[in-house]
Amino acid sequence: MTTPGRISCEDARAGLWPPERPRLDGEAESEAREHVRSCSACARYFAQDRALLESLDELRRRSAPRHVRERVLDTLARARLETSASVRPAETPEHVPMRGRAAVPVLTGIASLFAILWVLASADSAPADVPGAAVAEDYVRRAVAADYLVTDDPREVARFLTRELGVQTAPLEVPGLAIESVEICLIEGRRAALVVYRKDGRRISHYLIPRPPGRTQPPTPTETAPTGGFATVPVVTWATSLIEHALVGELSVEALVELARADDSTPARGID
Amino acid sequence: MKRALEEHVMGAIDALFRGALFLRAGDTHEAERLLEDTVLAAYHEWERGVEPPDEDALLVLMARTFLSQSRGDAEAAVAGDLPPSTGDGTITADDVCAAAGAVAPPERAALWLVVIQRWRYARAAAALRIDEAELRRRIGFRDRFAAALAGLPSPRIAGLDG
Repeated sequence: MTTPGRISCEDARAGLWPPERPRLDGEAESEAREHVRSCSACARYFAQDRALLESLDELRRRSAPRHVRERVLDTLARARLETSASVRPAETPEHVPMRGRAAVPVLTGIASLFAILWVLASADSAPADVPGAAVAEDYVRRAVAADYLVTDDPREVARFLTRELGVQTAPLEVPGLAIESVEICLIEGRRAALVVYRKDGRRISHYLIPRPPGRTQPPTPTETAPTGGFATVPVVTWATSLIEHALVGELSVEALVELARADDSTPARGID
Repeated sequence: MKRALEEHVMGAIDALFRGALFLRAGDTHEAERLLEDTVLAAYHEWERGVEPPDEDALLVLMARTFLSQSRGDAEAAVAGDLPPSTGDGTITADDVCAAAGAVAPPERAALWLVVIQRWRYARAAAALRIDEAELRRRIGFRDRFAAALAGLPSPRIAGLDG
């Protein structure tokens, strides 16, 4: 369709669209705009576009809800688990226990995160003093939308863990051990949970990392030196059939082992 | 510092979610499935690759995932009943997505990239693996989309001069 003038309706519309970034400039743009002013069909076309843009603005303001974000992270976590289960046959539970070299990558990842959180939990240190600490924490929190639960109710924590990890599990329940909070985090790209406890005023972090069904392992103490020249961090790890556990905190490694052994889901009972 | 795929995906999650809603014509269940399928496709494509995916690459992947899933639906365009107008002149995000159901999947994907994402023709055509002439043809269904959005039987937008 054309109107008097050199430019066609199709060319005028294509050249002046989108309105915020027209494809024409200079004399060509002027000619196209003159065409639109004199052509009722083209004028209507651009009026329609403006009205559409206004209605689309609302769609553009929409953000993904929490459950969608978590579903996406769960999808990626499952994909990673399936990949690692298929490409590392030597790590099937029957052949590779948690202790030993196979545990090193997991322990290294956990210990690194422990080092960061250990510093952040210390009253005298600031995240900015530890290179990458603030970035690492922000990465973790941002990736999982910083969802966490502040509660001292073990049943509420158990529901949170079961819902968020997709595995029926529960926090440690030991006399004198008080729950402070629980949150979701990422460990080496895997969706995990962190339960924070207090015992005698000291903070203990319990990591729960879902895994493919595997052999259980009893609590194993490790003292890992995080980066940055900090003191060694005592870590106790153990595995139930579906979850890798790790404890780190302001207690001796013996005390951490004792806590781990008190866990109802430790290998002796195999609740997982 | 290398970013994990999760970080790239979460950085684009809002745009991906909006796109999925539009492409699935407002069906949130199907939109979440499309989003999940897109994320899985991203994992398989980029997890061991060299180039990390930016938001645009993820949007392209979503468009292609949608089209491959809709191949059988190309002729069965949901172009029957137009959604009713809200009657109060307010168009919501849900209305926009529902109106997308008035055009067939290939045209819907083109509208999403060009009209909503405001991509240039060449870029949108490359994403959809078609030439620009075909893209323009698909964009031509814009009037039907607009009519569905207005809830009117003729291609008009409420509020425009009659």
